[in-house]
Amino acid sequence: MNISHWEDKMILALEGDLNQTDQAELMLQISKDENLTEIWENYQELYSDIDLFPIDQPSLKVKHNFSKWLEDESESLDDQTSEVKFVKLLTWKRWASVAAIFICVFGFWQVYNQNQQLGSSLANLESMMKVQSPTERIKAIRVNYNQEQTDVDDKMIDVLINVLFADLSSNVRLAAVETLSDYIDRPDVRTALIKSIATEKDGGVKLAIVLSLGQIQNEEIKSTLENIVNDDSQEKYVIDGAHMQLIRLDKVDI
Amino acid sequence: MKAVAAGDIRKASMLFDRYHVNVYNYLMKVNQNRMLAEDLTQNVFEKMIKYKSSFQDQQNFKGWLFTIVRNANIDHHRKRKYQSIDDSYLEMATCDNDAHRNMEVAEQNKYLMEAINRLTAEEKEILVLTKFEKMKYSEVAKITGMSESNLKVKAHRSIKKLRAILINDIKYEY
Repeated sequence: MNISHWEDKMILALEGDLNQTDQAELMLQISKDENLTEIWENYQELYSDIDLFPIDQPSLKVKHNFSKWLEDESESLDDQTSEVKFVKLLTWKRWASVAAIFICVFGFWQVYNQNQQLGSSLANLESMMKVQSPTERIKAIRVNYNQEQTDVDDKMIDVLINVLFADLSSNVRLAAVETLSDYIDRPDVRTALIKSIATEKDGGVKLAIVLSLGQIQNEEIKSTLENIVNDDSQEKYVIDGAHMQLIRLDKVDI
Repeated sequence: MKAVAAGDIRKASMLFDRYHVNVYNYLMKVNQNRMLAEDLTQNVFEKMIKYKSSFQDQQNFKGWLFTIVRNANIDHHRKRKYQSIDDSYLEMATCDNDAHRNMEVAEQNKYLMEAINRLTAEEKEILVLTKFEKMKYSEVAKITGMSESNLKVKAHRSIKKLRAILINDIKYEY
């Protein structure tokens, strides 16, 4: 008996590609031959295993990283669009070229001024956080709170906390959370991060806060994470993040 | 996708939410490496935005997306060829939710993944797209650039080979 031939028929049958006559013939052969019966059962189970194979979930960081990347990309695209519109305006209103040049010079002066500010002393940080571009504000945070910066005073932490609660861009708030997480040992930073969960609207930022809080063993943090886990109004991935942190903190306890 | 292609890239987050688990599961099955599958998943959605203008209105989105997925995976392995040998991809990969399933089913899944890992890259790709992702042969044919009839033959042979591996090499007893 050519088993391979009947195997081909079995696969066609399971794929729904076998006509009724051939199917009847196949079933007859299967019922007559034990070996074919076993092979037929193998294929049925194989197809069933494939159908029932569990869907694996990627970790939360995939969603978080993509959201962050998308936000950056959208902002940079917005900036480019405004530039294009500006150039079109120049072409359309040639008679206003002198005024346009003046605006350009003024724009360059502003950018130059902002760059000067970035490189300048930490005392200017507060004013730098008032510039319009979120990208510039993120840059200001990165420059002023880099890892080489060992001595960060209370005033600078206050600026960051203020950003965390008040900045309109979720990306800037996210940068603030990431930076504050380097100072999680400070009680004022922990308190601010815990309080911000109640006011934060963006799920990605909330997830970053949860992940930052999970770095340290502290009863208040555990209770905050437990509240998030039990709060159905939170985004699912934020709840999952809080749950993961709780499990991790419990393991550290052991 | 039409909105994304028209420049409203913030809408891409909805597409990500809807399809990233499919993309990840495909990459996980063909590579059997969680970190790599996650990195490539993000990379795929970044490329989706980069190549948004190549999407045509009448096109099937999932098919178009999986063309990017496939190319991203091929690119990764092509580059990897010129690097020093790293992991063997055999460190698979029981799903996290296996804990919630009974031991027998978890074991079956483990053997099934082990058998899939012994297929060629092309066989893996065809099986995962047609059987696990349940994509139509016509869609997969467009993604892989094969004719539909050729694809059907290869899928047929792959499933036959998969059973043979399970029975003869892995000695799996149904």
